[in-house]
Amino acid sequence: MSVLRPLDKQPGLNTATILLVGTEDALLQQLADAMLQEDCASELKIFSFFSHLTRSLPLPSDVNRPRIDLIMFVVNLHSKYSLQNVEESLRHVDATFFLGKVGFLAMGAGQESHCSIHRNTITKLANTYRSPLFFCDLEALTWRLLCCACWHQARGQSCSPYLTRPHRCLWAPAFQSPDEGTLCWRTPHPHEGLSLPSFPCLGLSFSAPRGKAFEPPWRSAWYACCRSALATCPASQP
Amino acid sequence: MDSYESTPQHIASSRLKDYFIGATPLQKRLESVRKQTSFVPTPPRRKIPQCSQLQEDNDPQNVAFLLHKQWTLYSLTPLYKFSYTNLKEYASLLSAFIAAEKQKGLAVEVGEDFNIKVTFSTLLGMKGTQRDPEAFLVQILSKSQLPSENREHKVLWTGWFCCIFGDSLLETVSEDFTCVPLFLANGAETNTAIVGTWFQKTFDCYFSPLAINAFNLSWMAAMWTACKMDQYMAATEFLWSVPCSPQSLDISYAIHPEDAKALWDSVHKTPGEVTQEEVDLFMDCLYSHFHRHFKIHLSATRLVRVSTSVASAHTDGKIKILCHKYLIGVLAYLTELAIFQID
Repeated sequence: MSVLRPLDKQPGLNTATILLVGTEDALLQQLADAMLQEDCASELKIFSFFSHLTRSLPLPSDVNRPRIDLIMFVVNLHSKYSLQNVEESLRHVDATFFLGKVGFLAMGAGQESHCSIHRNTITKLANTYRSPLFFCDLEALTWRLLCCACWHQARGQSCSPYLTRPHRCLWAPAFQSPDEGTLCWRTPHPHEGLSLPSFPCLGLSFSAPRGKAFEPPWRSAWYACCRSALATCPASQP
Repeated sequence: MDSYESTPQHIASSRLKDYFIGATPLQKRLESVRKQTSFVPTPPRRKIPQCSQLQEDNDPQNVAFLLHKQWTLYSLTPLYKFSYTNLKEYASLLSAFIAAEKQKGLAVEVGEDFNIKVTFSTLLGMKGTQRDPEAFLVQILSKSQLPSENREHKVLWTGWFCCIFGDSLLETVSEDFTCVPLFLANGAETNTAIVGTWFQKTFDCYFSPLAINAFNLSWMAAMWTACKMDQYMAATEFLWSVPCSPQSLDISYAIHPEDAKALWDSVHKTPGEVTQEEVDLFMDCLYSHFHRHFKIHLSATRLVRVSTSVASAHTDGKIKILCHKYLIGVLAYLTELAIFQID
């Protein structure tokens, strides 16, 4: 049985490889496509297994593939099967991977009525493995945020404190106030009046360029937003 | 001491500190909400429903009409300035409101005789502890137009409000509020909407439909299977919805109730309590049995309906209680879900 180790291969020049593990084929494909579309200075290779045979680890050892820089385990909160699959796959990952190279992605927390896994179950799992957990839904805003977070993590950039430190961030559902261009989020809470974050949350804010207040400044501001994350992140403040 | 010489900002902040020191109900409310949204695990164990003492003291005939009916569930925020002594007045006001709604635009006087009648009454024995507020029932009846003596009142719509073991909510609410977080309705949707609107206007509360997710449905399945029954009236049945295009498929799985009880007994360890592990194990046994025969992973589908001899529940927030003995137990869990949704 091959176990995934982080340093068993040479790193690629200006590349980062992200492995997505999960049972939801369509979801993984969407996430991979969205990541590849990002306007990145350096190359980002996505190497994700979503074929029928290898929806989970271990990976076949005879395939020639680059070094894996980041593993994202994708769990669908509507399906207990996806959680069982991830739990099985975790056994085939070397312990050193969990020093900042593994993340968990929980989908579907926004639809509370469809959930068969309690949020605390997945939180406990992420806690056990000391890895960050992202709650995400299939919305363009959160996808972009997640893609950027993964990309930064894979590149090992220190301006992504929310991934290098083992604390959790809550993303979904995200909304944008159109006049300020500030990206906010809150816990997937049924009542709008109560928006108390349960985990140390990341505060990302960026100012829209003048004259383009109503255009979602995703591409141009994305770098600015992530690089300034350290400065504006309340979680990184004492 | 500093406050006498301090700037307005300091005065404001010291006032803020005093505001938080006192344990007013509002502050208790905020604290409980903060606790709920912080990382607190779900209660890993719940009590198996038992026949409550309060219920035993009352005649089962009084509540027999609540059984074998499909109820739609709503959660309700506490009612402001609701009084149990004014029930007759509320009945006439609601009756006038319904008449007005049905004949939009025409003038209506309170007390005029229309062909519908509204009654408010208390339901005795429908509470978990003495501290719970009394449950009350609202019914819309149709009056026969015949002038004969014994006019039959046909029940058009029934709705009742209750609170079973609602301590977590009762502690944080001030005197002016009546906490009846669980609302069950049977009858036409339009009537439910009209009654809901009247309550929202009169008592400044808010209704929201109470959906039951798959996680809670599996807890219900385990808890109700754990209940001791003298005789089983119905098979234990589960319904899963398979997400696929163009139309979703449904998988129905029926088990003989005694087999389900035998499976539960083999999984169950702690007497009187149900734990998360036992629920997961119970459901996993069913999933693996199904997979062995049909090679389908039920855990990848969504549980939408659970039906046992005690009660049956649907994910859209519909419940039917079949057994009088465990009525309070079933309602206690639903009250817990309603309170969680309000918070």
